[in-house]
Amino acid sequence: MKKWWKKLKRRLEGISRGDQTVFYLTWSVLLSFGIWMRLGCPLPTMELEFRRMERTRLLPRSEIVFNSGKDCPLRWRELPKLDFRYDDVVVGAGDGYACIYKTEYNIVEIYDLTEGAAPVPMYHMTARWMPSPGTIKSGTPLLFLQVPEEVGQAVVEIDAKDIEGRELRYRGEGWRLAPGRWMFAAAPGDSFSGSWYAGGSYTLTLYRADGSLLEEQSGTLPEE
Amino acid sequence: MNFDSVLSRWLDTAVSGIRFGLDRKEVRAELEGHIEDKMADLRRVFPDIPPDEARDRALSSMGNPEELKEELARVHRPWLGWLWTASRYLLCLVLLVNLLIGYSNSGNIEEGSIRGSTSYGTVHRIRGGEKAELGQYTFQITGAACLEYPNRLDREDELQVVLRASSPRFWERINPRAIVDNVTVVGPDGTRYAADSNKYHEGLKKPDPAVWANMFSEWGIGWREVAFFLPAEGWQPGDRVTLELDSEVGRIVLSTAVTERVDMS
Repeated sequence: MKKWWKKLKRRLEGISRGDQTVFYLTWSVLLSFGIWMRLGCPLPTMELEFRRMERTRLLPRSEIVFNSGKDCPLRWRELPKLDFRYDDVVVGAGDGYACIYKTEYNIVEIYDLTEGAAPVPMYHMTARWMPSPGTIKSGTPLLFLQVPEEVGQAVVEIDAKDIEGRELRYRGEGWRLAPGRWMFAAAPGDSFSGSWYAGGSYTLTLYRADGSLLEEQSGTLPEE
Repeated sequence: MNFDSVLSRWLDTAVSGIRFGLDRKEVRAELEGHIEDKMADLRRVFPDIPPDEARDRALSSMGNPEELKEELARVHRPWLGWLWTASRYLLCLVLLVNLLIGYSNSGNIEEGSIRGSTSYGTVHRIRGGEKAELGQYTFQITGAACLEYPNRLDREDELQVVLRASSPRFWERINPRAIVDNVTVVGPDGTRYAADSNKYHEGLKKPDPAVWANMFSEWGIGWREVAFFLPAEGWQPGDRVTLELDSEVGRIVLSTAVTERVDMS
C-alpha cells in the first residue's frame, strides 16, 4: 500500500497541474457517484422523489395536490399558522385514489377516494400551528380532497377509540390549501398516537363564505 | 540596508503579482536560486568582488522587478491553482465520506446496496423465460423449480417461480410491493393465489389462498427479483405456473413450465 501510494505520488508530481486537477475531479465524481448509490440514489426534490415512487410502485402519474416541502407548488409554507414538524409529505391524487409519500419512512401509502369530500389520513405525521403568539399546538394531519369550491369554512368532528377502548374526540376547523383542498391537524388532547383516528368516524361540516351551512358529510376514516 | 533585506524586497516585488500562494512561494524560491547562481558566477569570475556589488549586478541582470511582476502575474493564472487546490480537498472529502458510509451500518441497506440478496435467495434459474414490458420495466421469469424437502417434516414441497423486473433507469429499482401487491399466481391445477410477503408470519393478515412472495430475494443495479413459492402437491414435471401482474399502469401475464426438481435436503 505504501509502495503503491509512493508510486502514485511520484506519477502525479510528474504531470501538469491541469492534468492533476482532471485526475482529482474525475475520482471525486466517481466516488461521489458511489456515495449517491450507497445512499439509495436520492433525488434533489421531493417532487422528483414522489414521481420516482409512483413509477417504482407501478402507479400512473397523479396530480400533486399537497407538498409540504420547500419546493411546494401550493406555497404551503406561506400559510402563517400551520407547518409540518419533523418531516415532509407529498400527496398525489389520481383517478379514484390518493397516494401519500412520506419522506421519513420513504414509503407510499394509497387510499381510495370516496364520493364527495374524501379524507386522506396522514398517519404518524405531525403538523403544528400557533393559535396565538407563543402557543404551539400539534396534531395528526388529515387532508380532505374534492371539497366543494364555494366552501368558506370547514369543521371536522372525529370520534375514535384507542387500543384500550377509551373514547377520543376532536372537533376543529381546517385550513384551506387551495380550491377543493382542506387540511386539518387533529389532536384529541395533549397526548395521542400518530394514528389515533385510524378507523374512527368523522363528520365534516362545510359552510359557505357567508357562514350558511352548505353540506354535512359523515363517514369512516381509513384504517392504517 | 543589509544584503538580505534588499534581496528580499526585490523578490517580494517580483512575485507580488502572483495571486496563488503556492505558485508565489515556488517562483520566489526559483528566482532566489537564479540570483544566487548569478552571484556565485560573478564571484567565480571576479574573486575579489564585494558581496553587495555581486548582489546588485546579479539583481540588475534579472531586470526591473516591477516589469517582472507584471509578466509573472500574466503567466500565473490564479484560478487554475485554486481549482487544483479545491479538487485536492474535494477528493479528500469524498474519500472520507466514502469511508464513513462504507463503515457505517446505518441506513437502509437494501436501498443503499448496489447488489444483494436475502438468506432465502436461492434461485433456481431457467433461461429464456417469457418476458413482457410494463411501465418502464421489463418483467421476465428467471427461475422455476420444484423444491423438495424429503428430510424435513416441517416443510412441504413447493414450486418456486422467480420474477425479475429490470429497468435501464438503474436509480429506479422497482419497489417489491409493486410486485407482491399486484401479482396473482396461478398454479398447475388452476388454483389462483394472491401473493403475500407475510404468509409465514403468524398473526398478520394474509389473503386466502396465498403464496409466499419473498420480497427481497435478490437485487442489483436497476433490477430486482421476487420469488414466489406455491404448494407443489400434484405437480408433474412440465406443469405450467402463471404469474398475472395487474397494476394501475397495465396488465401482463407470464407463464413457465416447471421442469426441474431440486432436492433441498
